[in-house]
Amino acid sequence: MLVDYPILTLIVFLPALGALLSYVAGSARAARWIALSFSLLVLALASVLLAGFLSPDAIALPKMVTPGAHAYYAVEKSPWVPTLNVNYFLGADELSVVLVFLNALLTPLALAISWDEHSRVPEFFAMFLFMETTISGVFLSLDLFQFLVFWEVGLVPMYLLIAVWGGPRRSYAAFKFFLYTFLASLPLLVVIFAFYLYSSPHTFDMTAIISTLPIPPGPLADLAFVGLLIAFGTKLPTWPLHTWLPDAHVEAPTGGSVILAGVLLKLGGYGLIRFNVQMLPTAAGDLYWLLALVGIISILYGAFVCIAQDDLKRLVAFSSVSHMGFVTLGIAAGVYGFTSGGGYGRGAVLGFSGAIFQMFAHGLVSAALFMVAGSLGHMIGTRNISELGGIAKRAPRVAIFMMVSFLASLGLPGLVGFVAEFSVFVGVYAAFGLLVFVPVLTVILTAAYYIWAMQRAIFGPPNPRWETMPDLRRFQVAPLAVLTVAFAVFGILPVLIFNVISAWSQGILGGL
Amino acid sequence: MVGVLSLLWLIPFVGALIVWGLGTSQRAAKFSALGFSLVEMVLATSLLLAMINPGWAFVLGAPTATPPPTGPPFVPLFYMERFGGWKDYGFNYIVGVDGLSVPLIWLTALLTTLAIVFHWDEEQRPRAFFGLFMFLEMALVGVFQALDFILFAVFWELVLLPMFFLIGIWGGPNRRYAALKFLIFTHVGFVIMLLSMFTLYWTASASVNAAVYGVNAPTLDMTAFLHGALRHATGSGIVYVTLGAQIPIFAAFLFGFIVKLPSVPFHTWLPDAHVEAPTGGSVLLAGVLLKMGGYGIFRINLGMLPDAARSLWWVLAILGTVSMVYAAFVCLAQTDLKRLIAYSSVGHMGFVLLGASSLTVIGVQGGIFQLFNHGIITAILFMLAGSVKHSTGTRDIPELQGLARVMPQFSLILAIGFFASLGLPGLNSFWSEFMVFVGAYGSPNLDPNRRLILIPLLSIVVTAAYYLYTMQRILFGDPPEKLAKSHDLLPWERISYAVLVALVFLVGLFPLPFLGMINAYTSGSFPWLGGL
Repeated sequence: MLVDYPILTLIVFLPALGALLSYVAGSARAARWIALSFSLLVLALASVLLAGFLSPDAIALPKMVTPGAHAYYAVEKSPWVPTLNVNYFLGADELSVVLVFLNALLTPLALAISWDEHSRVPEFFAMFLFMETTISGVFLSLDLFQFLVFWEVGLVPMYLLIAVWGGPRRSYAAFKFFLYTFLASLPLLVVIFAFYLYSSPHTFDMTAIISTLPIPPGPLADLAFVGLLIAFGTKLPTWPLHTWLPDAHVEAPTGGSVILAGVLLKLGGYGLIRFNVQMLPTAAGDLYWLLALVGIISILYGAFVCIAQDDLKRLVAFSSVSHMGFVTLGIAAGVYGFTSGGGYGRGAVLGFSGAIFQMFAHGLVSAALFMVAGSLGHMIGTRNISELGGIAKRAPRVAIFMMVSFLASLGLPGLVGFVAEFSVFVGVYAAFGLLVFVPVLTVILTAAYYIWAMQRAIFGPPNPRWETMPDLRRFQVAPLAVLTVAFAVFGILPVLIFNVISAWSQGILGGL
Repeated sequence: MVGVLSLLWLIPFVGALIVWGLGTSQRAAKFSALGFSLVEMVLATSLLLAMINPGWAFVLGAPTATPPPTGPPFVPLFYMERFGGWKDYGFNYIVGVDGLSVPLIWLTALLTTLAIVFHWDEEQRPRAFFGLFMFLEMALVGVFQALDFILFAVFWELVLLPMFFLIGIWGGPNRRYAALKFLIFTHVGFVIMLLSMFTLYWTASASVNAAVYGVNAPTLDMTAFLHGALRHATGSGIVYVTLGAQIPIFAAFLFGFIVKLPSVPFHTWLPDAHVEAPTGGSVLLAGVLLKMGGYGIFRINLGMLPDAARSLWWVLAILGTVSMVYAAFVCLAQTDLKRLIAYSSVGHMGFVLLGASSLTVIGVQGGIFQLFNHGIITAILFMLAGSVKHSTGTRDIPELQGLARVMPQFSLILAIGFFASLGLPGLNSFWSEFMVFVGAYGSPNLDPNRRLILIPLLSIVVTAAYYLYTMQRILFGDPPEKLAKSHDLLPWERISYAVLVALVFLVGLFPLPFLGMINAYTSGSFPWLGGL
């Protein structure tokens, strides 16, 4: 089957259309269903796109190859503002398709978990679809200007979700979220100017920039690398730029947290690979240690801080910092391991692919974690571990899903997180040798805080306060069940997407 | 024969007389004013369409550039009308337009119409009120199309009168002070500009006139200088004003224009004028009057004095950067919504100076486009300040809270206007700000110290901060008791907002019609500008 329709435009803009329709729908009920059907339609399209990568024989995507053997699929290009050489330019490759699929999968689940939202329902559901448009737009843009448009516009729906539907300190958290990421996008802006200025002829075309590498190696490239690291590291977020994240998560509504942790953070990892590695490969080779350093510190720092958290959502937020550290570390290991020529090329590729897979895995796992934490807080009014206790008896579904997602997050073999972390460890060992013990030991720490939290919250003597607490309802169980299945499927059969990722990583690292 | 451009200023002039003289009631005054402004709008739109695509020209023919008798190279000016009845004294009636003036003329026609609609319930001296708007429109359109120094100066001064009365009669409690301050500041700026015009007339115009038009006599014809400067800058070896003479002339013109723009340190009249002015007055003051300063910088400082521009670019850069940063910080501390918007205008006009200072094609285009975009956005913002005052009786930010509950339509427009003004990508002003920054960053002027661009860039974060902070205070939270009965937007206000918000999105998504026109102007008039 040949995909001869503009599938990427549909994936990017169908949600926006759905947002408009559910905004004007009139009734809350209609808005919910319109939003859900549009997001499911987009999920179907994203699945077709993913299938095009997994079995090219069955589903043929049009292919565009640029110098340096970079291939982009289902490319759509038409001039937007010719006087500036700005194009409407969409295209998918192995890196973006995984994240687009993740986005398309998590959006309907986030809508489902928010099914009982009662304040300004049409606007609420429209925000999620609007956000889906901007996020897919970032992943699929192949024009720097267009990338920047989606990148910045994406701040608005998340800002409004936190500021309007958030918790008691929503104003502060939303403001902090917006300003942090806005400030961090300044270096991105300057680097985009630099790419434009140094390319000849001046262009915003990302495929051309990846093929021709306009910024010459040297101090300028290193500076650009650091600037991009600040921009994407804030989004990821990596220590020490992470402080907006716990506040944003604690105040965000549950569905907002799901998208924030599940997909929005991945914009940072995507940027690190697409820009820092692909567009500034020499600088990445020089400054791999910076990536590794912030990665390791994030992993350690996030894990230690988690031990001291009482608010479940805060705990999950800091664990995200720690888990995103694996992404930075995996990238560093891949770049260094492959270029240092130590003969561990295959291990390095595994580390790099692990970083990408970790983004996918953490997207699924953190979505489930925030669903549990958010729904619990929603139902009983507190998320504090110290106030919980023995809820397994009263609310077995909460307990089961909390346990499953905790285990997935601590990297239990057989579940999706293990594959990602294991590959990163192999890569780190290949690149940095015994230094691998630092992140490996953190796994113990992670296991410790999760299991300890589990013991206090779920097990133990039942707290009489929760004598009559409700359990998860159907609309909350459904998305969690989907995610649980996904943990197992991608944990047992990671090859489903891992092969595609590692083939692509091999190509990217081979070109360094 | 009266051509289309003469009609463009004659229609509002006749309109002003009719509204003023024949209007017997509020209804008659506002309907006749609306009628004339709509006719003007149709004419301006046909001009705009013809400039965007010659194939779309209706009523008037396709635009054709008028070359001087000595042939190319020349600056392309369209729909030229020239009447030389007094040419023995060096004065001609010359009007003409190009890609710089047409967007501004269209903006004038649009904002005048919307300002009249917005004041549909004005009861205080309606004849004079609406008549003054028509008179103001006449003068503004005249400034943007006059191509003779005396004509330019006359229209420039005529702009002051209606605005002076609009502030002084329909203004707030401190209106007399504000009106006088406005008049004195801009008038002083004008007088100093006038000195430059005389200097050009006596020292250089005869030789430039001889080289371009073959007439060895002093002239106030701006086209002679425009064509002459172009030939001089592209190395055609004609006799032109020397650099030593250009520099003081440049400085004096610049003084007049940055008072109008305004730029730090001559901006202090602006917040006072805005705070006191009626809403429609503020809309035209910020939407179009400030653009006269930007227009002058491109038309005269860059268009006629290229050598001075090349050596004094840093003055523009510093003024622009200081305006951007200073205004952004001052905005953080404002409590009056209208004052805040007034100061934000100072910052946004800083982009124009920065774009001009880059002396690159992309930066200059960004600066010109910023004039248009800021006109659209600031009109929305000043209307919002007017609406909230009308509805709640106050513009004081600390007194406003939770308006999202009581005034949802107002709140939506406010959010869109604020996001547009802080330069959100996808909305119109992002294009111009982005182009200004690309131009300034890539400018050869800045070469060894490109990282200096971070200073003006930082101002956009502060801008985002004050807009978000203000938005959160006004819109979110629970509305206090006394705001609970505030009415939302009035029907005629909605019309004005709908048009402007549609433009914010349309121009944001499809900037090409305007950018193409501005690009044609920039490459035609400034072939000597640098690339990146």
